[in-house]
Amino acid sequence: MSDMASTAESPERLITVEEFDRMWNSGVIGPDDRVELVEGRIVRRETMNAPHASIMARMTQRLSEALGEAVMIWQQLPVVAAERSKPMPDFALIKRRGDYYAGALPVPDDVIAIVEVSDTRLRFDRGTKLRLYARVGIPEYWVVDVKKKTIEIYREPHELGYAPPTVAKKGERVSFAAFPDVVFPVDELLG
Amino acid sequence: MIVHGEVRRITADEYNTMAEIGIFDADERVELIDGVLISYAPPQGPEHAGLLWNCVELIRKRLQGTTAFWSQMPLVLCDDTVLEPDLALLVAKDTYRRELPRASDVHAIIEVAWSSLSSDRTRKLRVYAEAGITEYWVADVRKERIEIHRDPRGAEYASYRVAQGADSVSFATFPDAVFSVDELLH
Repeated sequence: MSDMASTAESPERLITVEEFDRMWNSGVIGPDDRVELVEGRIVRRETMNAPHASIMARMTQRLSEALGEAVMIWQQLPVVAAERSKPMPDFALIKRRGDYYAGALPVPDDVIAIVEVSDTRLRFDRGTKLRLYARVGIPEYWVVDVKKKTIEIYREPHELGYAPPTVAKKGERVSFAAFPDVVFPVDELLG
Repeated sequence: MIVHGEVRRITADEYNTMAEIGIFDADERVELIDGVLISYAPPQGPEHAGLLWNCVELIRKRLQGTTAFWSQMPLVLCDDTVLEPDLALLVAKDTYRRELPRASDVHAIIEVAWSSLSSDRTRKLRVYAEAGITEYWVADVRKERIEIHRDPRGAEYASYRVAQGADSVSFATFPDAVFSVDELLH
């Protein structure tokens, strides 16, 4: 569809967050749809196999134990990233709020870091999503490669992307820039 | 912009609901092709509008009573494709006020092509052929000619003819109603 969508004379009609929400409320998008809105397009979320799910479970536990007091761990919950983007990152570290964001979903200013755990969607997570997160100023972005068991850590966002990533492998240790003293062995997070 | 994630395709039913609940602005023209929403430019001003009007009126006068006319309104080609062709000649039925017409209701489709020429020739031709639309005319306004495609086979048409000037054209379903290219395009 990419060649088709890029036809200048009839561009793809992109969806806004507001329209996406109305589609949800009216049942056009149903609870069975595991989707998120990325750059105006409704995108299916990755289906998880066992290794992927297992990493999700490990990371849920370790991130909560180590950082659960300092931040809220927002797991596969929506973040309003831009006018046409409402992604549901695998993990978002967001600023604590008394109301748990009951009034309004987190926006980029609330986000300390985002983690995407990726098996078959690496191109998407390193491409479209990375550019989105960088553009809206998410200060830190991790891409976990399920197959290679590595963590790519992107920092210093600018308009077009991030500075080149550091890549952590098994046997190495990682931490978020906002919490340098909280160190995770890669093996503990990825098994 | 290219998204490498798996795009969640929109169905014709969902597209219709989106139109009903007002997702699209009243003055916005949106079509659904292969499950993807496509904005298309409204008719390009008085000349295009006048030309289309002339075409529709001429055809209407000669085919009155034999076919239903559907002009720039949604037509369901398949489960994930809804287009608004410039003119579709439909099997006369009284159900269209309740239900959008489908590909099987169509005798022929005409697109008056101006700036949308390449998309009408390639993308729409494929969609119409795949939906089994038996006859598809592209009126090329700039070159003052009509391309007539018949006999859909897969994603293409097996029969293709170009008519211009004083050439006579008619629809396969209505062979007795004869038009000249000049009168349709002027």
